[in-house]
Amino acid sequence: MIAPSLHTQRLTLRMPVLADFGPRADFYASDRSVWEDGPLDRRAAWRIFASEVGQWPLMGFGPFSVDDAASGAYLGEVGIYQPEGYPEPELGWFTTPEAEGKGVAFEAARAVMVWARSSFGWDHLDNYIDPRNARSIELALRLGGVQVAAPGADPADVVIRHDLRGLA
Amino acid sequence: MITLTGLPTLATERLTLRAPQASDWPTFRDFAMSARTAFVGGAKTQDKAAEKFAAFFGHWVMRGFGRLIAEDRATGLALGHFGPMQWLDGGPIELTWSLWRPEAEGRGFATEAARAMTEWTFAALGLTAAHAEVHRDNAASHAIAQKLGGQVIAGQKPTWFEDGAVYHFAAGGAL
Repeated sequence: MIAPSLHTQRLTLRMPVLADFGPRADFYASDRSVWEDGPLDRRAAWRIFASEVGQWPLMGFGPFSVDDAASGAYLGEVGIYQPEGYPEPELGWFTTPEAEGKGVAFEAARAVMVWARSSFGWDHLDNYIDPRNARSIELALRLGGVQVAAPGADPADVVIRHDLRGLA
Repeated sequence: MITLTGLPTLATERLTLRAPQASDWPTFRDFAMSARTAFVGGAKTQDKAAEKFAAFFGHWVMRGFGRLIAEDRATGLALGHFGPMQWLDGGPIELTWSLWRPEAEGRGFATEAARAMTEWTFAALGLTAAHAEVHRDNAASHAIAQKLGGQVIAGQKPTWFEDGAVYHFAAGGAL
């Protein structure tokens, strides 16, 4: 099982490939990963990335790599994650520093939610976000999510729920 | 069931080496959380065990090679994981072998599976060389490395252990 390709106005979402690891490793090496258990060295980053990509054959969902549809440039990753200990599949996102602030994660997350609804029929999809990660919380709310009192990946997580029933 | 596709299946006298599958998880988990991992980094939490298990799959997807699961054809039981792995782009390719089940030890299964896996690794990947790292006290694993024609690289320390040996394997070596 590999990811389908999803197309939005500006973006192409597709199955991750090895070349996408570089930006993820850079992210984990930087302070930008502080809300994602980082910073982490390259080996730890590889183990995480490989395990997330490995969700596709194991679970039928996982991360999509996000490219600029016009230039083909890699912009980040948006997808559905359920590592061990997650109560439900989670909607997550990451962008390169260059792609921040341009609505990339917003646009890609919408496409992933539509895909999740049409593929699995789920009623909702949650984000699990560190309470100090204000930027990610703001994006989740802007996408129409609502904070709920549900378990996340960590007891302190802010859980923001997206109602998928109106999609697809 | 969703599966990895396009992976090789290797047959030895008693074993079948095949793609990892979701149903291997409970057996792998029990191994990864047990004291049997003392020579390969130590017992993991369940979360970290699951991360490693899922990484088997992602490694295949992204690198085109990875761990196969050895199954005892007589019983159908999954016995362990065997295969080449690469942590870092451009880094060495490591040959790995792990028997999950204590009751499978002492019957030559690990050597049989590791030999088939090593032959496949050199043939399929076109490698000229590969490494294996073995903990100082892991006598059973040293024996396998030597039976497979591995040569200790003098003075090279393993990445993963405080003390141990790094073995060099060459294509066409004494398998």
